[in-house]
Amino acid sequence: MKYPTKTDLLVIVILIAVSLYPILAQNDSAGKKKLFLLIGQKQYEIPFKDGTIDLNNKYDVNMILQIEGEKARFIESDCPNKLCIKYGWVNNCGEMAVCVPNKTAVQIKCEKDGNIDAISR
Amino acid sequence: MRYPDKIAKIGLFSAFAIILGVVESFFPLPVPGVKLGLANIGVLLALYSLTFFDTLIVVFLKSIFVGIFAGNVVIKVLLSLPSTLTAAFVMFLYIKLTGRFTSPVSASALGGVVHIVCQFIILKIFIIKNLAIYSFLPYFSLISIFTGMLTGYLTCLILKHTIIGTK
Repeated sequence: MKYPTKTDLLVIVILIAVSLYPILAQNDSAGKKKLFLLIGQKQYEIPFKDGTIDLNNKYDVNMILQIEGEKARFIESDCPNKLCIKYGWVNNCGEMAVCVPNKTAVQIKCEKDGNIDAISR
Repeated sequence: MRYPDKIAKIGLFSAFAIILGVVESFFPLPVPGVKLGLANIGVLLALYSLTFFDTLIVVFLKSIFVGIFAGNVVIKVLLSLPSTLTAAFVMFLYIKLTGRFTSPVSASALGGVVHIVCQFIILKIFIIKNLAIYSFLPYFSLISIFTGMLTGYLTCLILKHTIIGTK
């Protein structure tokens, strides 16, 4: 048996191209940024307004979200590993900081003109 | 030369897959959720030298026993069994259709991608639900292509240099 053959390399290149496509396509889609807070099954849109939001009052999770310009981050959380805080600022399209114990995430989605796929999730 | 017995082969490949799967779960890699997938060498060997039905037996034994030995049975089996089955089926079709032009290297890379996609779908349905985890998928699938190529290459070496690979 011969290995790896030419067809092998072709198939692998195709596979790599297919997996790279979403990454590259994501970076192109510079549209209007929107900030979303995902909690459990629900999704809330938050306006970009500088300052901090205590999520405990409104959404019943013990976390504090900070917004500055067009980016956001968690600065306080009661989860054990604090991965959402360590993630840092979320500022690119599709980027998100996730806190699995609290089932909470903050994500920035970009909206292209006339394209509603950002909302249909 | 022929390796004598089909049943012995099933047992051998299953043992191979289970041991590699368990050993590998003791070596955490830097990125969470990523492992080399060395256990798939057993499945690949079965695909190349046994019938599809016999491969299914290997897949079942591997998924269940690795789940039992590597802890957290329910989640492990829930994640690994359906995705390994799908990956084995896709690899089987791939080998059937293009086996004359290709080697295990690409079959394994393809299987790796199918495997990780299935795992993401299962994660999305049963465990993490509404979080947009699909945005991580491209990175994981890229990694799985390379780990798949590695396991495929190892399988090539085994098929070439031993008699267990002969039909």
